[in-house]
This record gives sequence, structure tokens and C-alpha cells, in this order.
Amino acid sequence: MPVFGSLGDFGLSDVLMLLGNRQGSLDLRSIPGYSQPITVSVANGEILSISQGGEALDPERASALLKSLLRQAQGEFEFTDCPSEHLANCRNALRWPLERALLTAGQQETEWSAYQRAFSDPRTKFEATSAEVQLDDSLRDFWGKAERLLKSDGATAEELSEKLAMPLEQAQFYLYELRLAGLVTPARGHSREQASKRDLWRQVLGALRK
Amino acid sequence: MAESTLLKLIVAGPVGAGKTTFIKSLSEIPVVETDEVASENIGKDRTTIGIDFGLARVGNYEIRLFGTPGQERFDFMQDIVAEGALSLALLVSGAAPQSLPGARRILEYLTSQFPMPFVVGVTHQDRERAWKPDEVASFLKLPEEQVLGLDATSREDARAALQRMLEFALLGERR
Ligand SMILES: Nc1nc2c(ncn2[C@@H]2O[C@H](COP(=O)(O)OP(=O)(O)O)[C@@H](O)[C@H]2O)c(=O)[nH]1
Ligand SMILES: [Mg+2]
Repeated sequence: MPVFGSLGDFGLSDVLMLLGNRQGSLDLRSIPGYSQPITVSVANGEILSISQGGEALDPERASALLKSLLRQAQGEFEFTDCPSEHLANCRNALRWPLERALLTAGQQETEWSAYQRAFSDPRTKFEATSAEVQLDDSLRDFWGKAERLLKSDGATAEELSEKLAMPLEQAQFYLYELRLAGLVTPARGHSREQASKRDLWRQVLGALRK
Repeated sequence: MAESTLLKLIVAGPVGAGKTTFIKSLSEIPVVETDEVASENIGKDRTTIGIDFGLARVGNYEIRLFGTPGQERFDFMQDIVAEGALSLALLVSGAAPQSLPGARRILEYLTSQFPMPFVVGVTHQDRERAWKPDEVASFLKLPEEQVLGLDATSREDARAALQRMLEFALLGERR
């Protein structure tokens, strides 16, 4: 099944997260600075190998390449599903759990503007989840100040930027990171007003099914 | 009819997703396309600047369908449309993956500020290269049953999407 697109539209981390329960290979082409095609093989939520021009890279080079690819905003990707027998042949597999590989690679990156295109709408309301996660210093500091707001009614990047007196983009970046870490999620749910519409929904549904 | 004021559905999604087509497939009246109105008033090329409006009849109910592109410049219109809506259909073309991140932004914004049940419709499934509904579900981190493939030009598909929207509204209640 074709998952394809451009790295100008999706960050590589978005694409890899999406492949969490698939197995196969993600081919990357037309990446500036890399004349040979790059292939990332994934299975069971792990990166098995990263190869360049058909040759698997050792962990050190693979890690460096992944880091640079995560910042890449040009190039095309296409995913091909692959039967397990084929991937099982992969000797010396890296076996990097996807989420951890992405998070650690991301944390090295202090230039947050690189992530701007992945930011949510500044008016999207976020809520704290019940997860507990170890955070690095700067994120923990932000979490310390924002936690109360995010745990009560939820808050938008706009509101956090105003209440915590920080630039909007910085609040968006922290929310983006907290979301990757699983500590916040866009608010969703049903308001009381929605609940009162239940009978109406049922009646319309009944009419529609006739 | 008093209820009809409450029966408002939003059809949101990036340009080219099939919103106008979807509303036309459902509507019993000629769909009012504000992009055409705007082109007359401001003398500009046709652009999807505003909202489409259609009316679907289901039994005794009149369902007002509002299409909104969710482009940030025009978000104030989207907010007006979203207020008090019964349910949301977010449409996105499977053949235009470049519009998916934008679709996600629209969906997250709308559902976080205007909590309401929703479904996602992935159009252009008849095209050779297109993301499938389950892939879009995975990208949006939604259960697969909340994302359906549809041909917006088909009245049958559009009615099925409408039905799924209402089923989801009721299902969400039970949780
Ligand atoms: N092949 C195909 N074309 C579609 C489908 N849905 C919409 N279209 C076409 O896609 C184009 C854009 O649709 P439109 O309704 O104008 O998109 P909008 O910008 O979201 O209002 C139109 O030419 C439609 O006829 C679909 O499911 N399959
Ligand atoms: Mg339109």
C-alpha cells in the first residue's frame, strides 16, 4: 500500500511514527547532498537498518545519517510493505525502537525553527495525559510552569505564550516536544452541550437508515 | 422546525479534498459556493475563500451542510460555522499527501476548540496512487473505523459518510 509524499510536507519523524506497526522499507530519494538512494527498513516498531546505495551502514554512521535526515525538508519518500521472511534475513540489525530513536535524535536539536512546519495551530487546545516521563532540563522547566494549566482546562500555545511570557513559537515548540514525549495531546471529547444532542442524533440516524 | 437550527454539519478539509463535491452529492438544493460569490464581489479569480452551503433532507430533518477550507486567513468564518455544529466530516484527498499535515492541523484545532463527534473521509480512492483510509487513520492516530474511504462524487458514499458521522456521535457518548 502506498505511503508516499515529500519531506517538504512531512517530517521524517512523522513518517516513521506512522510506520510503527508496518514492516517494509522506506525509500528516500532526491535528498540534497545524498546522490544515492537511502533505505530505512522497519519492522515491529523498530528500525532494522539504514542503508545507502544498497549498503547497510554501521550503527554510528546510521545514527548520524538519521539525525541529519530528521531535519531534512527536501526529498521524496515511498514505503513498500515487505514480507517478514525477507526482513528476517537482515543480519546485524540495528533494532532501534522507533520512538526512542526519534526522541533522542530530536533532543540534540536545539534549533527549534527546524520543526516549525510540524507545529500545531497556535489555537489548538492541549491537555495533559496521565503519562509520566523523564524530561530534559529545558522541557522540565516549561512543564513545571505549564503543567497546572494543561491539567486543569487545557491550554493553547497562544495562551501559554501569554501566561508564561514567552514567544509564541517557543510555546509551540515545547508543546510539540511534550506531545512527542506523550505528556500532552490535543484536547478532544464531548462537551455537555454535545451530550444533550444525543436524542437528536439517534432520531436523525433512524431517519437516515429508513 | 425548531430542531433544524441544531442540525448543522461541518465539512472541513484542505482545498481539493472534495468538500464542495461532497456537499453537492448530499444537497437537495443547488449548493451555494461562496468562492463564486466572492469572485463577483471582489473581482478576483475563483478561489475557495469561504464556505459552501447545502441542505440535505433526512426524514423530517433538514441538515445544513457547511463546507470550510480551514485556511488560516479565513479561520474566523470557520469558527462561526463550527459553533453549535452537530458533527464534523474532515475530508482529505488520498492522492494529495501534501495536504495531510494541513488536514491534521485543521482537525486538531477544530476538535479541540469545538468538541464534537467527527469522521474523516479519504477521497480519490479511485486513483492509482492514493493513501488508503487505514494509512490516514494511522497518520491521524485515529481508530480505523473513524476513517472511511469515499468517492465524494457518489451520493451513496456521501450518505454512508453522513450515517457514520451520526453513528460516531452516538458511539462517542457511550465511552
Ligand atoms: N476521482 C475523484 N475525484 C474527486 C473525488 N472527490 C472529489 N473529486 C474531484 O476533485 C476536485 C476537487 O473537488 P472539490 O469538491 O472542488 O474540492 P474542495 O476544494 O474541497 O471543495 C473536483 O474536480 C472533484 O470532482 C473522488 O473521490 N475521486
Ligand atoms: Mg470547494
